[in-house]
Amino acid sequence: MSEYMLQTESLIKTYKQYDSVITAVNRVNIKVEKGEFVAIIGTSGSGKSTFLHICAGLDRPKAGHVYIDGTDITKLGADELGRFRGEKMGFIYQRHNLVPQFTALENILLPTVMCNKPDMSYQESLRKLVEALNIGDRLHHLPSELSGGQAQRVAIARALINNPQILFADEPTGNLDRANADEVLELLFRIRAELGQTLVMVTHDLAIADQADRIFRMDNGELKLERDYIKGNKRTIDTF
Amino acid sequence: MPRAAPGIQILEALWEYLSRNLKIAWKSVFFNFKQYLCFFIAVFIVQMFYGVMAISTSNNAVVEAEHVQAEYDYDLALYNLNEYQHNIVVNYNNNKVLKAARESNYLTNEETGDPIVYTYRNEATKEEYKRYDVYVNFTDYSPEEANEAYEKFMSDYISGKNAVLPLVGNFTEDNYVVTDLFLNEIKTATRETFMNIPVLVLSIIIFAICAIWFIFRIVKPKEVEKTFGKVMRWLITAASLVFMFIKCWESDYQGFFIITLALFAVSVFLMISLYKIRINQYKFTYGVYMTCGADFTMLFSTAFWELFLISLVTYIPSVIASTLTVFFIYGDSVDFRFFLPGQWLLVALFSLLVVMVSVISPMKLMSLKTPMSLIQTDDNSNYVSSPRRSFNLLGKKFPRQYEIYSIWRFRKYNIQLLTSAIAFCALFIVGLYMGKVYDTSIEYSKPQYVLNISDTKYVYNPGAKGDASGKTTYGDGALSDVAISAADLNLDKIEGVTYVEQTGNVQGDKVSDDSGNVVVIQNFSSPVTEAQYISSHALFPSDRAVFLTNFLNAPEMSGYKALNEVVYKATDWEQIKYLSQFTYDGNLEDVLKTDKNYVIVGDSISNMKKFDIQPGDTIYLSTKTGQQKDIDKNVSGRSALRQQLQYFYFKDTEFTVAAVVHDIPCDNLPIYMLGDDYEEVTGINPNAKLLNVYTEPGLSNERVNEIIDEIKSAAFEKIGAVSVTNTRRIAEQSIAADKHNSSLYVVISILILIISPLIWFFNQILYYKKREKEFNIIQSMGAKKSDIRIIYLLGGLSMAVMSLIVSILLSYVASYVVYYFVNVILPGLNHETIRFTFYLPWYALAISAIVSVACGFFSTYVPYRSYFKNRFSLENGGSGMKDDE
Repeated sequence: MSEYMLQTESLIKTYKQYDSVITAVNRVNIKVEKGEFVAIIGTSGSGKSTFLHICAGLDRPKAGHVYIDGTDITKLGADELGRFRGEKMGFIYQRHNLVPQFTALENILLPTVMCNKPDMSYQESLRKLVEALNIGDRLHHLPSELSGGQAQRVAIARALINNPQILFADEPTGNLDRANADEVLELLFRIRAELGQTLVMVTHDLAIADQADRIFRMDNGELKLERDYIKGNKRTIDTF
Repeated sequence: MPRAAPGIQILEALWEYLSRNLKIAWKSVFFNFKQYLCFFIAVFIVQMFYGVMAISTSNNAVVEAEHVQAEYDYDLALYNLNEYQHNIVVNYNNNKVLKAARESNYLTNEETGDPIVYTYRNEATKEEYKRYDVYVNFTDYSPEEANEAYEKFMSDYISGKNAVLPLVGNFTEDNYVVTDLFLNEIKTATRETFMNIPVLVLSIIIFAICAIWFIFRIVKPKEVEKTFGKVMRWLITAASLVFMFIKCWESDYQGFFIITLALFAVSVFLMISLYKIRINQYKFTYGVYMTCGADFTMLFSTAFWELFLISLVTYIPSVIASTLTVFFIYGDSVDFRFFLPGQWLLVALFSLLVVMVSVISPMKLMSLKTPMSLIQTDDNSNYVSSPRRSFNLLGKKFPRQYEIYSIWRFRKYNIQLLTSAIAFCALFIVGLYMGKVYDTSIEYSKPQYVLNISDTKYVYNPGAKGDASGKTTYGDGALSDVAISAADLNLDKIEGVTYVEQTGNVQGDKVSDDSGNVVVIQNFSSPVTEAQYISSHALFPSDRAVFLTNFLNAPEMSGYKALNEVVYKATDWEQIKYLSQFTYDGNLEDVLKTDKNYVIVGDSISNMKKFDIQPGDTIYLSTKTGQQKDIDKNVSGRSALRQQLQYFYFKDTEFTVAAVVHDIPCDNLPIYMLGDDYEEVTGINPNAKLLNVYTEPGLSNERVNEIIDEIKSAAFEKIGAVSVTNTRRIAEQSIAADKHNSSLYVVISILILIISPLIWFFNQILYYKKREKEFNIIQSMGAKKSDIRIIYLLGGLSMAVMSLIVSILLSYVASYVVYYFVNVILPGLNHETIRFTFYLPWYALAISAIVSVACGFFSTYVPYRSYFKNRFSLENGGSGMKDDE
């Protein structure tokens, strides 16, 4: 067990575009404590989403390490990483990315199926999530029959159903109007507070970022601490 | 809550696992029914492949059995018995087998009244030549009893230490025949079980481990992973496969097993091709699955259950369709068996195995990708031209150059599509080619009778120079040296007999001479000699040799090349009749002329054309006269020839090529010459003791029996006791089976051909669906409707042209591979096979080319129509930019 829920060491990600090489993530180090809420802001193309994807094991870095609760996920094989992701991490995309042929309920339960969870183990968390996210009456609808806000709430429930220790969110309200965005975020924060999960969120919205424990800014692939709010317990500020 | 018993828990977990996976599969398949439609067709075809094969194999066995039973109601035939031998057999007193009434020719079973022994008496004019054929039937008993009786009979009368029949007259292996059907029956009934016990135990252990692993993998995945690990998993899989392979190989159905493997490979290739297309176009879902924690096992599982569900749906229709297809092939020639649960089960297992194996590699490759790469590709960005590369996008060269560039841009996709879709056209040709092999087998004339004159002290003279009728006598005129011909025996006068051919392979032993080096042959009794065995070779003009052949330069004969893969055959006018059924150049009968030494030659070795010899060419046949030095006795073939040319002395006899036979089946190159020449070249007296008798096709059973009588009578009159083996049964049986096999291959070929359009349309519809966004974009930038039309047209035309080229190339290569396999590799492995010359069936090639070109074009035309239909509706109310699905 590690002291930090997320820790990266000299994380580098480059892309080759024709003859030039673009460095999307440049030697990024970060340490995120358990239960902490970290927001990452930055302009479009600054590399924040790429960084988040790598931290969540959805993409591979060119160099460096990512530790989730002490496990170096860059060293895990594809299958081990898949299972690890299913059990320890949750991910919310900007677009809901629900599988069109499955109902809302089936989409929520997808991680339990993918991780071979027995029926009884997720019933309680399902009940809580459905109640908290207020999607009880939409469970048997297909994604095409849901509004944007509802679909995103289903996506949040899907990310949380396995009770992950860390939650990654890539502009979860980017596709929603203000009212819907506020509602979804409020629900997300409430559930997170209840479950005590670590949250790493990429956002454009400073108002949302303001609610985080710490705010980082991604600029040309480099991550810098923007602000550090000490809420409750005393926190250590990492310098790079 | 009280805990359920462990067994119940496992069952519950298993049920949950199955129901959950099937539910997901059901959702995926039926929500995207259009997307999966081609899989329904593909799985249906796969099941039909195997269904047709399995059901026809079962019914083919019935055809063969019925054929034998209809014509031959005996298990053992004893030929050419003298009076004593005959009396002994019909008085055979084994209570279990023969309780016979001697009054009639038929000795019957007391209980059933069925005939057990049937005797045939030959009415020869001379008393001492009277001979009997006796037919014995053991099949009124159970196979075990029949085997016991058969073994006792054989021991007492034929092959035992004190066997009676050889003691009271001439009796050799040629005097009896046991029917294949009977041998099969007793083989099945008395199969050694001891050897199978370890295999059985091993199989139970392996499958028990597999079952436990499978159940625990579902119930407690982590523990299983820790306990068994990857090594164990692979070990079990490998052991199961090896076991299955050995088991099938050891079985009586080797041929069936080989065809099963071939069909399995084709089926897996088909399913992989389709599945790769599908997942390539629908990576998004798998990206989401992986985000949610799916590993390879889970991805494999989702794919497998989808195809499993499809195979469940198509199973019954495919079994019905297969049964009906086979019924139409077999028609009313057989008491057709519709109810074949064993074969149905095989079809189910086959399709299960195919879908299981097919999804492994696509899913493994998928699992190695990162989820983001899968989710991001769904945004279609990879299909839209890069502005940097498409600088001339809407310039004057648009849209022609743009689309030509697109073909290059999607080259990987195009190559994959062309090769996979057209590979099935090539396989279609291979199937027809195989059908043609069986047709060749049917057409290829087989001797209907073998006449053995070894008991008569006569020999068959294949013709001496100066006497084309072949009536020359050899030696001192004693009875033992009297040579006869077909004309002497009056065989050619028998109605229905077409020609007679002296036969027999090289007989005798290879032994070393005093020096211990030179291999010689003893006891020749047939007019056929392989050059290698007498250290001989033939010299052919160098300019006639085809590149990459087996020739060596002849050091003492410039302009000629040496070859020892040659077989010398003594011939006569009867054999010329036989040779005339093949394709040839020149005049076959010239070989009978005496003004020069003439030969008839083939132009192929192992049915591959080796040189371009023409009638009138001069060749030399070299006979060893002495040697400088011994050669390495361990070498053979070309290596031996190389040393022989260096160290041996030869006498070269000049021959003129009278005719060249093109398609005669052969391992070595045949050279036919008259008896005198044969004796000069080989030093061997060209006499035969066995004669093949060919009859006209389509004779009635009655006429066939009459012919046997007439052959015997004709021979008995002249030369005494001969034995006639009726090989017509074997020939006809194989023809009956081959006819069905030929139709079977045609059906399978047509099924394979259906796959090609399936791949074309599935691929192209998805491909253009993805490109629609690109067309929308370029339209929004100013491209006209006609430009888009040209893009589609160019795409379709380019695919059609490329298909034509690729289909011809692939078809040629595939046919040649099959030809090489059947003609060269199989005979090399000592497999009996029908030889045939290489050709490309033009009608199959034409069908393949037409299908490929049509598919190439129309698989573009369909999405073109669909696009413009959608665009039209969009322009009347839509934005012109269609959202992703």
